[in-house]
Amino acid sequence: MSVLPSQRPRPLASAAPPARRHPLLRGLVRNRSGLIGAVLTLVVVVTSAAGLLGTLPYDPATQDVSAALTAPSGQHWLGTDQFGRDVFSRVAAGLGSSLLVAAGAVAVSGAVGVVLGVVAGYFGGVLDRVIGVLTNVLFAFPSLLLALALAATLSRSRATVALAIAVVYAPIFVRVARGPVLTLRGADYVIAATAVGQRRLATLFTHVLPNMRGIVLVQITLSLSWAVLTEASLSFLGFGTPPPAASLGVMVFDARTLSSVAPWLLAGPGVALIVFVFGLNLLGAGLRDALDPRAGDRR
Amino acid sequence: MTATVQLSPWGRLGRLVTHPVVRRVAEAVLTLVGVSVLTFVVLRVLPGDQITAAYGTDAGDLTGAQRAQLRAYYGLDQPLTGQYLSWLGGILTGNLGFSSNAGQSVAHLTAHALPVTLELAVLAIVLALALGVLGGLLAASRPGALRDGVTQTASLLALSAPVFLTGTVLARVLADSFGWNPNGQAYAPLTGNLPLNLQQMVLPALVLGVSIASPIAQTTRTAVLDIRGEDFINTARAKGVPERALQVRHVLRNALIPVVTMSGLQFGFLLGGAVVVEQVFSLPGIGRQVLLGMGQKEYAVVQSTVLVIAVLFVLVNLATDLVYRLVDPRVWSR
Repeated sequence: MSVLPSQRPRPLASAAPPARRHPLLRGLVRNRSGLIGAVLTLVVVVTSAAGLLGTLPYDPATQDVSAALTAPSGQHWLGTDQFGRDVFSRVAAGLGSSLLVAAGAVAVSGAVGVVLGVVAGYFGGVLDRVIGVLTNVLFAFPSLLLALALAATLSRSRATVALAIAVVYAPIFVRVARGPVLTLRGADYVIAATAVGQRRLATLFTHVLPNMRGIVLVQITLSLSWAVLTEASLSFLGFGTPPPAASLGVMVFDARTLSSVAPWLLAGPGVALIVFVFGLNLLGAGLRDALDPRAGDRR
Repeated sequence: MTATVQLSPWGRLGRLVTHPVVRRVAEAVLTLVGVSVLTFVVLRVLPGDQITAAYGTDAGDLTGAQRAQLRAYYGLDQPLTGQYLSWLGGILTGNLGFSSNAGQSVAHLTAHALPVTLELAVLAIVLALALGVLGGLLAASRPGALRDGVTQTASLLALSAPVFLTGTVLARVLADSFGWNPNGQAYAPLTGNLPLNLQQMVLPALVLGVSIASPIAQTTRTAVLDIRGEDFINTARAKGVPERALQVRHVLRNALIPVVTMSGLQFGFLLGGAVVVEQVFSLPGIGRQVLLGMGQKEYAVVQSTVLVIAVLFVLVNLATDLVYRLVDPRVWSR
């Protein structure tokens, strides 16, 4: 580990002109869908930050029966629900809650999955077999069903929902990390590094892991979008974010019976959810194309 | 390694064991064992024991002696491996447990719920293939053109809309604006009232189908573009094969191989989505059975049904893989 910094080809990177320092960012900005995705994601993240920090036009839980079921207006941007609660504030709070759960789930599943995938791919052997069987077993359950079974078994809280989603998505990260490690392990420069006497672990950190950052980054973005969808689906089914916290899935469920009188109750959380997931998907696709320009015209 | 070498019986056995199909089947069996262990652990050990499940909050009033008797009755005093083996033995002989709320065996409930889900899954796959393959072909016909962009955006949008949302919105709009709400009536079995059954199935199948059409469209597009660049297409064209026949017989037929695999892989997603869609449209399928079991804390129902779904999924994946090897001989050489 101590030999790491000196062996990294740092001078080359810093000698490059500043514009080339962030090729990923530049590629993303040039890629139209990636840019749209980044903007949509930014809008959603800012809105959910407002929800998490409590800087909303109304308190999402405060009821005002005199203003029940009012249509969208300048006062209530997305109208109010049957208890007179402001729908926009509830949507923002719900987005914040989704983001927290999704980010927690992806952080855990990404960390565990990538470590296991790298270990399996780089060291191979029995470890690889065991991790492979575990991955296959988890993949044998339809993902939503497994998340549902886990969430229903554990006591209901945001943390357990995130954990349930993390268990389901960890095997995806295992596979995503294992593949490139296998390829990189056989790459000429990795073999060369080993041949000149670099220790295997050092080679892993200097030559293998840095080359996987892009793939993992794309996977994180896409997994976030799935995690948001899963959290919303679990909440819709009654096994997600517990009340009284606002949740987009619960809002859609509650709006079902009122859709003919107050369609905005369905539209608000529904559009927010689609924008959130669509933005993340576009961002993921944009990142993928920016990392691999050849993929752009084929995918 | 060559075929002319006479193999000893052991050598023949060795070759059989390393045969790709045998290995793939063995892998599936190993996965199934893992699936049963995981289902057992998650749904029997974690939520407390069956006494709590059977007696609910009353379980707190049981005396120590009553509790010990019940533990012996349910076999909970046995070691875990013994419990697992006796549970597995029961499953393998068709004993999936008993639902006290429904007053029926889980096997009986599953036998009634499974056909509903399978009908839904088949209809959804057919719709998804129709939409996905057409969309993929449309996108691939002019890569980079407007139709490509529109198809890809639509497919990404379909991927971003959760099934429970599209289902709810579609059902509400049709019921509120057109008064069409077939799922408001009691479920009509396929063999009972076919017209009503199809009316009740079309929306859920459409919603599920759209949700898995995107990956199929993407796969079709990539496969068609890849194969169009292959040498054998140029050869066929040079030999004077008419363009239409070339596209259908040479490009499309080969492109459908990965599409079939993709459809098989989507089956698991379909079964997960069925849980949601059956709930939205009140269909008495296997997904609803899981949800009801969870709501009523009937762990025998949940455990067995989850296991049935996972086994189904593993078998479909195995079948997809074997069909893939059958239609694409190149995989053998791996």
